[in-house]
Amino acid sequence: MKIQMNVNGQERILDVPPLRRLIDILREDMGLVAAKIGCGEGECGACNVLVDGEAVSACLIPAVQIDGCRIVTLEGLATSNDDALAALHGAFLEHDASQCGACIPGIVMTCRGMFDDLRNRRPSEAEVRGLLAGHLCRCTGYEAIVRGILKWLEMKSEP
Amino acid sequence: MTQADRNEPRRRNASKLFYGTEPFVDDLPAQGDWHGGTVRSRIAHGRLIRLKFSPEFDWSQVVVVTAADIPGKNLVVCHEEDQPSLCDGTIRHYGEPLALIAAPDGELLHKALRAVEPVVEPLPAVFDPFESLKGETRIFGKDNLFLEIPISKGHAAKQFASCDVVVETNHFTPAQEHAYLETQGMRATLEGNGVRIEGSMQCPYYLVAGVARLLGIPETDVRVSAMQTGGGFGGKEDFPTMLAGHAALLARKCGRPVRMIYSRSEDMAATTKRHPAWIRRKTGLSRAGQFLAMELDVVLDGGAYATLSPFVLSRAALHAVGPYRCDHVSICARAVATNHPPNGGFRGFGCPQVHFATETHIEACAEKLGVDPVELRRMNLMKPGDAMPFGQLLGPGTYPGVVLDEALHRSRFEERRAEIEAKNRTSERRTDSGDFEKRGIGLAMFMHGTGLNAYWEKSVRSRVRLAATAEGQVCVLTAQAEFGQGTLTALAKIAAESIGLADSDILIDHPDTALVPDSGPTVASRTVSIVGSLIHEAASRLRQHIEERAGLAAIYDPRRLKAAIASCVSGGDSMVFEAEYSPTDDTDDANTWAPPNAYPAYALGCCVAEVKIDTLTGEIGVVDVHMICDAGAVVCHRLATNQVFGGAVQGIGWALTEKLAWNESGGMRNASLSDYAIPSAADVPEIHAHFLDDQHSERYRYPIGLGELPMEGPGPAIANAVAMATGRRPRRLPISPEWIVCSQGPEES
Repeated sequence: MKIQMNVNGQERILDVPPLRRLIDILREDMGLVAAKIGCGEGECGACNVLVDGEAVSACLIPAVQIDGCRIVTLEGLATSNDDALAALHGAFLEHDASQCGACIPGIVMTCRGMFDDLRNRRPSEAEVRGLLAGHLCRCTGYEAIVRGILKWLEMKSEP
Repeated sequence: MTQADRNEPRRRNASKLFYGTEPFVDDLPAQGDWHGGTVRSRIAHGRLIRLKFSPEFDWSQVVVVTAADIPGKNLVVCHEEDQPSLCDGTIRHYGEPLALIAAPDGELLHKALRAVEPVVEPLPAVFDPFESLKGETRIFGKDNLFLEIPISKGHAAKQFASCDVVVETNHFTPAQEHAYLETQGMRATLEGNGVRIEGSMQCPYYLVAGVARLLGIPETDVRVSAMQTGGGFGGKEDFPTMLAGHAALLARKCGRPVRMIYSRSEDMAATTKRHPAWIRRKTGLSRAGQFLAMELDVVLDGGAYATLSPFVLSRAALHAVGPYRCDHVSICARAVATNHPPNGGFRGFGCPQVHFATETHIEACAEKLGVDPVELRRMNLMKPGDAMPFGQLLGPGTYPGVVLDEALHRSRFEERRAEIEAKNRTSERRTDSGDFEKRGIGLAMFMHGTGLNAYWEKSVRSRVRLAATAEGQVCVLTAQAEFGQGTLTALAKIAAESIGLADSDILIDHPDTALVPDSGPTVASRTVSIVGSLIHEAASRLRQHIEERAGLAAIYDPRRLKAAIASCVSGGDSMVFEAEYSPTDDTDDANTWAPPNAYPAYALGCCVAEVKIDTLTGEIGVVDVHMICDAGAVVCHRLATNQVFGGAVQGIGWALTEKLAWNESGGMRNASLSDYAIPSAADVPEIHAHFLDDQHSERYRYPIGLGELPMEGPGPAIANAVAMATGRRPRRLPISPEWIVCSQGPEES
């Protein structure tokens, strides 16, 4: 089927099987490989991208569902002078939040997707852990990621 | 200043990891690669009569490889030569590779895989190692015994008679799935007369040996490039040798690059797990609490092929009594073949199993004697100069008692224990107030010898190389892979400090065997300890050379040093320095599995865990974890601390949620991340990590391995905390809510 979508600001028309997964469209058809495949069943969050501003697992989204959607991948964010992303980058580097790195791009997209919600309130550590519950990481024990996110939100709430 | 605030280099590839631009193997551009897949057995044991290829499928679109296509030896190169790369007629486990298929795209590949039907003649299978030892079903050799390691000191059997108290307990620890976030993946390309391998791995040179042997070509015709590897934990130690061989066979047959990327379910069903262990522990004590005699049986389920089982067994046997002193010890450790898929290396490598038994057994001893389990430990902990059962003396500066004290102090253990005891007395089950919560606090000691054992470390003959550039920078060339532990960052820092250059003037990249010497596998917490010491040695030589060349007594300014190196190289000096591992002591060459001086040093740890239990639902929550680690000098505090967090959470998962279920064919039934529950951020508490690294002691001048250590404490510490909360001692992991609420639960295994 023909679908139309906006990927990282560019209008695209694709002819794909209706059940082709968004993650395969991004990674294989478009070469956008920042989103990783961890589990293929929406459990680990490694493939999260923004669909109409919301972070979702691209392994669960068939092509038929993204017709007319606005997709933003980490490649798109990285080239858009996004201040919130730059600040998260700084906080993650400071806390050494990435180890093997397979889970991190997905976590970055989730954080960015939640940013507008989070910017006005300061979530507790426990809340941040809850917000991360849709992600799996096997290297870090989450500690540095949680600390990195808390630091990021602290930075953003300053005027 | 906290430990992590020291001025340390950041993780070298942190930015690329953050933006997702550090490529994993499946991130490589398509480049016309074909997709490779594996036809696997669905029975545990039997004969493969033939493969039935459906006539409905057009087989001209794909290539198929069977054992008959193997030009070299049909073997996965490891210690025992028992595992075929592709089934040789006998199927010995569920998921065993029978044939390989490559297709131009993934969809066609899956159609082809579904169009093959193995015709098999099933044989009786055995999944219990004790059944297997009876030898009715033949899997390995004459008796299904991969290896037996007996270790004996004094006269344990005789000594029990004179003990005031004898305590005997049985313990079981389960299989564990590595669950690295990046599944196994490999790409093979024909290059010159040979083959180039790129992929996810811990040990590039294992793949060189394995692929050369399988294809029957010289090792010099196999080039292996490790990519950024998405977690390993031992799961990418031996298995990638098989996968690289498969990709190479397919590439050779179809004449194109072939990429094999396992799906999560295939990865979980087909690759190795932590060895399940059955441990019987018997200890005789004096009335005062001194350990007088010990008897230990350790049985590991090795699965259908030996793979790394002998090595895991060796480490389990050598660490079986933990950091405790006892003059009369008898250990019998056995790795047994079953029809499970092979079990292999996993962070801790035999230590988590034996430490679980030791640290929960000691609590039972304390209970029997009526003494404080902390005091019982303190009384029996080794000191430098004390002998281990296989003869090694604990090295200078190695004080388990200091680690214990630090843990008690930092966790306020005794204070918390008293508070919890008081609280538990008042909150009875189903009180009017609806308070169903019980708490418990527990601790566990653990230790981990660094590197491969002395015999094997010597036989690897690791070599590292440093090469200076015309710009005055220095390349660090080792075979150590980066899979999240921070190899590149830590080894570069060691080089920078040893030479005296700025960190930014050290060049280091993922290993490519065309460029790097064989510095051994990236395993056994040996990277910063063993390989790091070789880099230090080569770096010291480089520095000495440059000082002599420049005619200076010492150059302290990194920029002057850089200029001196540049001028040396520009002047035609090759400036390449190597160092090779040469052990100082003469270890008994015949003693492969229990050499008298098994490890150059031992890292130590103590974990304190506090749990809360809902006595109504059985839910167990870990509310506080303290990890005290003594691993010699810490190279990068920030990275090391994060390693401890990650290891601790893996230990929490092993203790509580990671339950592996088997299907009737002995394969993993819950082979998905939805059904096999590794902890999420919401499941674990904030963890407190602390390193002992007293700068004044010789012990802290050099790093001792750290990677595996933190995995080893939480299991027994949590079990001991649960015992305090419930009054019942868990003898097996994982500890389930069902066990908590079911008063008839299996207390003894």
